[in-house]
Amino acid sequence: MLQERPNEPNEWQNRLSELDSCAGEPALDKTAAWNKLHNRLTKQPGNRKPLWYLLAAASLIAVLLLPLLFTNKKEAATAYENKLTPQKQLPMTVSLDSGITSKDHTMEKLDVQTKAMQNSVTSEKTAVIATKQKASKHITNQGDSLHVATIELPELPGNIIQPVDTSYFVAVQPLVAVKKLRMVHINEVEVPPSREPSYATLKLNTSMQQQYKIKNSRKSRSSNLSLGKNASDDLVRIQLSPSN
Amino acid sequence: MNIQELVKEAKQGSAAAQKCLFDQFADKMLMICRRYVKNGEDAEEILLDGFYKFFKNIAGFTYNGDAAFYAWLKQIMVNECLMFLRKKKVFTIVSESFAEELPLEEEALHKLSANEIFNLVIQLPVGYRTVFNLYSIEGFSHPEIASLLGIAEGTSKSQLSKARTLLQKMLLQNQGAYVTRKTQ
Repeated sequence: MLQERPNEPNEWQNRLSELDSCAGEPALDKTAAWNKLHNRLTKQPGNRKPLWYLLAAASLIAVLLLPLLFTNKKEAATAYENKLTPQKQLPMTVSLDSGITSKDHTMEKLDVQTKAMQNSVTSEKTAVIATKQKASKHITNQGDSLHVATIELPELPGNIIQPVDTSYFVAVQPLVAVKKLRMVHINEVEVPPSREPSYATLKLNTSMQQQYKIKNSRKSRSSNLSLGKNASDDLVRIQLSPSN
Repeated sequence: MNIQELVKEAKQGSAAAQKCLFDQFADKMLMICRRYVKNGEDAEEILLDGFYKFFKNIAGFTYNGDAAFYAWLKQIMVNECLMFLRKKKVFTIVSESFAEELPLEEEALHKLSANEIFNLVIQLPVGYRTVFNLYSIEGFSHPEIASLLGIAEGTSKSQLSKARTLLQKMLLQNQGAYVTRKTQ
């Protein structure tokens, strides 16, 4: 057995390298193959647009589009700023309603103002009344916030101390359904007894809740919701008026 | 016209000279491609790619004889075949332990015709076939084959050993047919 020597071609290797066709295999279509090759060799490189042409087109497009982008950004910025600006604050004066007291510090300032006016001659009271009667908008009381309206002060007589021309600005809450209230003079207002608010917070312990359920299941319900018969029970009694 | 004149005119861009060279060497180059790439269509594509590169770079070629010209053209074709096989990722061969180099019975191959040897070679698996072609036919050494294919030298040797083993098996299987054909 002879070992192959890589650098010395053997007879069968020479024969194999000289092989130009294989029996049983279709012969190469030289014409078609040459046409393909010739097309590849003669392919026009000039069909590609020069680089400077492409750069010029890109720069032109950029020049045309950039101003549009900047204008859009400015519009967006201005729209955003408009959203952030606070709403116009209305000058505020107060028409005191019956039984409604506010802990707002602005109210205190206005109370001072009204008191100052009352401490002057008697005619000031009539002037205040006149101003209130001319109020065009109503006041609603919603919890701890007040939505107030403007009141135009008429010209006061010369012997009346002119109120300080100050304006108080408070945040204005969005208008909701307004409940029309009756306008009365402060002297005519009788301070009602401490009354319970129209709403109540119900705080029950879980054990009390269970007691309520057990008791409620045995008894029929009535219009007055009573959670317990005996006052000694540690339960909250709630009485709802028919109107509510 | 001889090859030297054709090469000279092809350098100047003569399409006719290029066509003559193509017609003269296309068949042999195709058989070389077929030894590496079994599929006929792939072998044709590789042939065209090889000739395209040949004509594009012919300006840098210096004619030193027909054998040198043939070797240069053949090398281009072999490189194209290896690039094609690398793209197909057929050389993800797991490195194997070095196998004993089995000598191939040269006498058996001497008795066979070129077509029969060709048919035996193309029946080998692609890894065995490639290493066998490069080592036994093209004359590369194992380190050169390892660098060409991106494999270890030991892998090249083991692949060659397995190729030889398989060829011997095929020779033994076909030996009866070969003998009867020769006696006829």
